[in-house]
Amino acid sequence: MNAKMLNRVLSVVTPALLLLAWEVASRTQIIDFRFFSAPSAIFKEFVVMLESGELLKHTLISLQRIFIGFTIGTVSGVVIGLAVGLIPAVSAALKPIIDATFPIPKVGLLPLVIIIFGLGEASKYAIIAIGVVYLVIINTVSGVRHIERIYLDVGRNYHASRLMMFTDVALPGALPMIIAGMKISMGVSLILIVSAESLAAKSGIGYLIWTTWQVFEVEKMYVGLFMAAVLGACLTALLDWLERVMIPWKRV
Amino acid sequence: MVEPKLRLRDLNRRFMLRDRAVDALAGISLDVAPGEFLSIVGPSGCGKTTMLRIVAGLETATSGTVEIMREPGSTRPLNAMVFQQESVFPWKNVRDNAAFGLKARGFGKRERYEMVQPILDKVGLRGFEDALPHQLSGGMKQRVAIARAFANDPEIMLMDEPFAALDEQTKLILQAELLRIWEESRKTVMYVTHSIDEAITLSDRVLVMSARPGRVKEIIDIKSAFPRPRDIAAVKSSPKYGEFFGRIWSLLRDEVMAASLVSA
Amino acid sequence: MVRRLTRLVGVLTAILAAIAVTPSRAADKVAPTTVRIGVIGILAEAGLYVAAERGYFTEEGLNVEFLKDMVGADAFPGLATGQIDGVGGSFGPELANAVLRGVRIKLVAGLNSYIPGWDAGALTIRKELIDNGRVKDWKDLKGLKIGITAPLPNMTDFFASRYLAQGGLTFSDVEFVTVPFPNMISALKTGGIDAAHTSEPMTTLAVDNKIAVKWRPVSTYAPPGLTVAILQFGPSLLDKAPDVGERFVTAYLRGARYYDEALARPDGKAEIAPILMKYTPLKDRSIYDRISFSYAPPDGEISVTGLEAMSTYYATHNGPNAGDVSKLVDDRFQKAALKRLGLYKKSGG
Repeated sequence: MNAKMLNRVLSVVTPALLLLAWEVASRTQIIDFRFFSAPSAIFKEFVVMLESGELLKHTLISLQRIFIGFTIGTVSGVVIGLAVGLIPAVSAALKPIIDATFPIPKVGLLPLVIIIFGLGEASKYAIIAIGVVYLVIINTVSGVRHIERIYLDVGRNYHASRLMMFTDVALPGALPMIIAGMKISMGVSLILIVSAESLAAKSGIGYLIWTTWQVFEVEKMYVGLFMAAVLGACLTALLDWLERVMIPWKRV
Repeated sequence: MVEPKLRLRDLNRRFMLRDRAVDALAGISLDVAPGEFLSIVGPSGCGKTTMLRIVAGLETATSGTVEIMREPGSTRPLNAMVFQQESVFPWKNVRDNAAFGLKARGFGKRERYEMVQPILDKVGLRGFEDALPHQLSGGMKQRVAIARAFANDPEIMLMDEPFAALDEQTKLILQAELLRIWEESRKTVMYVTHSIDEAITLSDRVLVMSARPGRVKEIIDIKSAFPRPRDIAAVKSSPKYGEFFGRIWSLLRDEVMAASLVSA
Repeated sequence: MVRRLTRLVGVLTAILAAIAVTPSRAADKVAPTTVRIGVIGILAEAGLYVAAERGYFTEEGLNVEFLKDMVGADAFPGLATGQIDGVGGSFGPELANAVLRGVRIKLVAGLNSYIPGWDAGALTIRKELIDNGRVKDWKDLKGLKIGITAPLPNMTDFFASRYLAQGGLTFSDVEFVTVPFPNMISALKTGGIDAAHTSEPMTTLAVDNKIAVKWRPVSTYAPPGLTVAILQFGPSLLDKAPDVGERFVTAYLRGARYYDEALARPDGKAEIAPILMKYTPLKDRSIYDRISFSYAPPDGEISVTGLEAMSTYYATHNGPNAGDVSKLVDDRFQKAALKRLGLYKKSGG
C-alpha cells in the first residue's frame, strides 16, 4: 500500500473511529447522553427529518441565502478590489475606510443590518455579502499588487486599454488570491448565516439549530450542526473544484 | 544616407538611489537604419536594458530624444518588446497570448485569430494553439512571446536577451529560427544580449557599451563581412568570426573590469 | 438580538462546560451557601428580588446570585452539573423534553400565578382594530394576525388556543406570526401583527403609545390560577443539599408575602418599584404607577391543573408528552418552608 492510499484510508477511518468512540462513550455513560446524545440516535433523527422534508427545506434555504449573498459579496469585492489595486485615487479614497471597518466583527453588525434591511431575506444576503466583500477586496488588492511586474509591462508595452488591463491582466493575475479569499470567506459566510438565521428567520440551518435547542430537542440540534458541517464541506469542495478549473496554471 | 528608422539623440537617464544620483545612460546618440538588426552588448549594469525600456516607452529618459519613424499612413504600433523573463500570460492559451497586441489594438476575435495563425505556424507552434503556457517548455514559451511581438507587426522590434534563460541547444535552434523569420520580415531590431557570439551571428551591427554610465563605446559593422541570408554554422566557422569576437571582447574586457571594480 | 446571539454561542460553551465538570466531580462539591439562580429579569420574578433586597436570603445564611438569561435550555447543562442550582421560568416544551431525557429538574414553588385582579398578562389588540369596530367580541379574532414568540407548540400559542376557543375559533381561523417579545410593540405598530398575548410592562407600554388596547385580561382565558412562572431546582439542591433548598424557598416565600402585602398598601408601590427597577430592565419609575403587578402566590402554590392543561396542549400539538405532570412537582421544600412560616393568612395590615 503506497502513501497516497494510506492517506485515503486514514481520511475515512479516522472520522469513523471518532464516531465509534462517541457512540461507545455515550452508551457507557462516559459522556452525558442527555446533552451529547449518540451518533446512532442522531442518525435516526436525521433519517426522520430527511424523510419529512424538513431537513432539505432548511438546507436549501440556507444554501440559497449563502449563494446569493456570496455572489453579491464576491462580485462587488472583486470590482472594488481591482479599482483600489489599480487606481491610486480610488485607493486613496477607499483604503482607509476599508482598513478601519474591516476589523469590526461582522456578527456584531447583525442588529444594524436587520434594522436597515428588515427581517426578510435581504438582511440575510446583506450580512453574508458584508462578510465576504472585505476578504475578497483585501485579497484582490493584494493579488493585484503582487502581480509580477512583467505582466503589467507587457500590457503597457502593447498599449492595452485600462479596461483590458482590468480584464486581461489584473483580474486573471489576481485570480489565485481572489479564490483564496473566496475560500476563507466561505467559512465566514456559514458562520454568519447560522447566526443570522438564529436571530431573525423562520427557516434555515441556523434557525433549526437555534429553535431545536430552545425546546431542548437535542438530536435535532445535532442534525442541524451536522448539516452545517456537511454544507461547509460541500461548499469548500465546490470552491476547490472552481480553483482547479479557473486557475489550472497554479497547481497546488 | 536613408532616413533612419530609429534616432536616439543625447539620451540620458539618471536614477536617484537614496540621496545619490546614479547615471545609467550618458549621452547616447544612435541611428538605426530601416530593416537593420542591431545588437547591443555591454557589461552588466551598463544600462542596455534601460535603453531598450526607454525606447519601448516603459521608462522615460531624463533628457534626450527618441524618435521612431513611421512610414507615411502607417497605423502600425511603434514597437513590440520580447522580454528576458517569462512574459506570456499563464492564464491565456498560446493563441490568445500571441494575439494579445492585436486585441489591444481592437481587432475582433475572428480577425485576430486569422492574423496570428501564420505567425504561430512560422514559429513552430502549430498544434499548440489551445495549450496553456504551463503545459509548454521554456523554449516554447519564448516562441509564444516572439510570435506575440511579430503578430503585432511593429515598426521596430525590441528584444531583451530573449534566449538568456534557455539551455544551449534550445538557444541555437531558436536563434536560427529567429534569423529565418527576421529575414522574411526584415523588421528593424534592437537586440540586447550579453553573448558576443549571439551578437555576431545575428546582427548587422554590434553596439558595444561602456560600463556605467552607459555610453556608445564603439559600433562594429558585421554585415559587410557576413551578408544575408546567413548560415549560422558558416558564420561561426569563418575566421572573421574569431576576429570579430576578439575585437569585441577586447573592447568589453576593460569595461567589464571597470564595472566589477565599481561594484566591488 | 445581540443577547440572543450570545446565547446561541452559549449553547456550545454550555455543552462544553458540561464536559469540564462531570456529574461525579460535581458530587464532591461542598453544599452551596452560594446559590446560583438563573432568571430572565422580569416583573414576574418580583418575589425573588424582594426577598433578596429585604435580606431574607442572607438571614438564611445564603448568598444568592442571579444569573440573567440563564433559563430554559441554556440552563440545563449548568443545572445538571451543579453550576446552577435553580432557575425561574415557565413550563415550556423544553422543560418537558429535558425531563423526558432524564435531566433532573423539579418544580418547587410558584413564582407568579394568573388570578383575577392581578392581570399581568393580557390579550392586546392593535388599537385601530378596536377603534374601527373590527374587533368587538371573541369571535371577531377570526382572520387576525396573531403574534407568538416561538414556533409551535409553546406558551404563547397555548394562550392563543385558549382565547381563540372563547370565540369558537381554531388555529386555522388565524395567521400566526413569530415575533420575539422585544419586537412585539413595533410589530403591533406596523400592523405586522394584530393581536398577541403580552405581559407587563409591554401591555402598558403599548397602551401608553396608543398602539394597542389591553383588550381582555389573561384571567378571562387562561386556566384559573395558572402558575406561569415557577421556581425550579436542579440536582444540587434536590439531592445534595436539600436543606439549602428549604432555606431558599423559605426566604423566597417571605419575599413573596412581603411583596403581595406591600402592594396592598397605598404607599406600597413606592417601596416595590425601586427594587424592580434594580433587577429588571424597566427603569422608568412612572410606568410602575400604571402597570398590573404580577401575583406571587404566598404559599408558593403550583397549579397542577394548569400544568396539565399546558402539557396536554403540547402533547396534542406535535410537542413532547410529559405524562403525569404532578411528578414534575417536588413540594418538599415548599412544605418545609410552610412548616416554619405557617400557612399564609391574609393579614389585615
